[in-house]
Amino acid sequence: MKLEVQDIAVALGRRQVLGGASLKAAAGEMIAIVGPNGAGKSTLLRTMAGLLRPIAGSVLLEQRDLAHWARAEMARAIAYLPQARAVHWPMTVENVVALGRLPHGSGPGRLRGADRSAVDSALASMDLTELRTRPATELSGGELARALVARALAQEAQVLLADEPTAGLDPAHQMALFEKLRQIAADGCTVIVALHDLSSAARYCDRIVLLKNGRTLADGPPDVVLSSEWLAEVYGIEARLVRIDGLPLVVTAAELPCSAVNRSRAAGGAN
Amino acid sequence: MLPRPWPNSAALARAFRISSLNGTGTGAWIGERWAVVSITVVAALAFLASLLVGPTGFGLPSGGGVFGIIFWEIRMPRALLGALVGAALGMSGAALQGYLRNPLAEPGLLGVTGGASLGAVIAIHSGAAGAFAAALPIGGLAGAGLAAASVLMLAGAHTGPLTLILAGVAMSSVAGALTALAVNLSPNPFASVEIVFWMLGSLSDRSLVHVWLASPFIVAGLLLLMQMAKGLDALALGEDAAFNLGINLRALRVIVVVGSALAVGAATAVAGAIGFVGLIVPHILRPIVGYLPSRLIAASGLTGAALVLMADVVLRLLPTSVDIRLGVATAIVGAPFFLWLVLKSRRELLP
Repeated sequence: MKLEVQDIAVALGRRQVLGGASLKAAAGEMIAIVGPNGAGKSTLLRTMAGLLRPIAGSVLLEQRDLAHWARAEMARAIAYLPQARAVHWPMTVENVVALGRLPHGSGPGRLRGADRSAVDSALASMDLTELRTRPATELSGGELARALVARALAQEAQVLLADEPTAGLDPAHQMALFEKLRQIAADGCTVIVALHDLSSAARYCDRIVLLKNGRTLADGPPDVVLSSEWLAEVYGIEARLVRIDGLPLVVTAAELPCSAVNRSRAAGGAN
Repeated sequence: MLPRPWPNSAALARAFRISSLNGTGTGAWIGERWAVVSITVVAALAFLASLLVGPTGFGLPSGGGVFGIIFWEIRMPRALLGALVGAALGMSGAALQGYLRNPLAEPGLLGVTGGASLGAVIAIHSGAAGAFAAALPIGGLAGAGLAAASVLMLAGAHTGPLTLILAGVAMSSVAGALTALAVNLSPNPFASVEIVFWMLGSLSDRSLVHVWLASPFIVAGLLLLMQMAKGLDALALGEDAAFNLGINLRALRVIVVVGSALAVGAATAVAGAIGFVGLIVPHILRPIVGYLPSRLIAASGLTGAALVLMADVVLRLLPTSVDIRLGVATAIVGAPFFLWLVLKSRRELLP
């Protein structure tokens, strides 16, 4: 499905978090949103998921404003994986994943046919088959993260929005998750992930969107967006995109004096 | 002794857990269907016991006469009210624990119990209850309605669970203060004794009028709460994930509060404050039917009904010279359970 963010502004309470954010995503694309802490990545994803209403601009899904989508319809079209990872009751991993079938009129304990196979394949792709009867509250951080990713996968929506889905995952499961995301994008889904790992963004995503202070500064293929100039401008770091055996790697060399961290250090030292 | 539906030793429970993992993955210790069947049977037996047991003897009345009057005018309303009140307390306890995602939540938290008590106390205090019997439950219903409306308005329609808890605590405090004032200002000692005794909670001396007054509200409340099962499940993943799964969070909040208020408000209006049932019933059930909030809703209603009916039957059989009140009995049994809960959660929170 086509998802289009048109020059939106979003406020959380009185504080404006996004202003001048735009993004176009087509079916089959996998896009990374990157930027420093507080740039507005999560807010942008939450707005695309319909959780926040922009105060200016609009979010269009298939040319139709998100505000005009019925809730049930939206739940089948967009799967959103929040950054906060919580399961409040010790329900089993399988039941957590089965919650992803609620928009399809099914759910925990009521899985039949397509619903059961969606849950089984989501469990298998996140390497959770062995853990399916384990209470979610007894999982390690990385296992819980995978269970929640599996919930979003089981939703089988045409658009997948994931907020730092690989945080806390070991390298093998990170690679497996990125491969899975690539695969569902190849199947025609639109995948948008917020990431901090620039090398993975460069390796797995078709396009990278740079976000800073609530504005989308750059949008393009990894080689263009992850240039030393842009990295210096957005993160205040001296860094370079290199290739080792053909695989992209962002090497960070030094913090620049203009980096946010250095500036606040300098301000602290002056006091 | 009534058959117990749950295994009473941890080893037995573990055995059940292993044998039930035949691909259903419910996480329940015994099969869900069997759990629901057993709970229903227990509730039905408790209802029957409530009809059969009384100071005039054991058994069903034969023919008409005094026995018929006792059966239809005394035992039947008492059993019906016990079932309704218990179901209201149990189900709203489960719904509120699920909504607030807090295992220590109970129906009294919303301030509705306090509001209903205040309304009933005002009815006693003003003498209206003496003038006609239905004034007392009507006062309770009005108090519960006002309390629920104030809590909803105070908390706002689209905020998190914390504001709801704060608004409920504030409402309870206001109602408690005004109730104390009414006792303080009571025209004579008999009125204050009547108020205090009423607040202890009881099912005795209730008539079919009480049943007719309370049942529409309780049934409506229970039906509303049962619609919310899916939303409560989704909420286990947090509000953002629940929204993404298509749950209307505002409607969920209003319906959980209104449903609980209708059921618990009406229950308190006819039976007084009966504590701990709403708190402990979901805890008894979680090891049996699993941790999904949706599974707990109907089961908690049935178990609450069974618990209140059984407590009421036991109280009738106790050879005490003074009638021990139902609310006192549930508190005496419930408070140690609560202590155990605190100790258990402390152990679980320790590394």
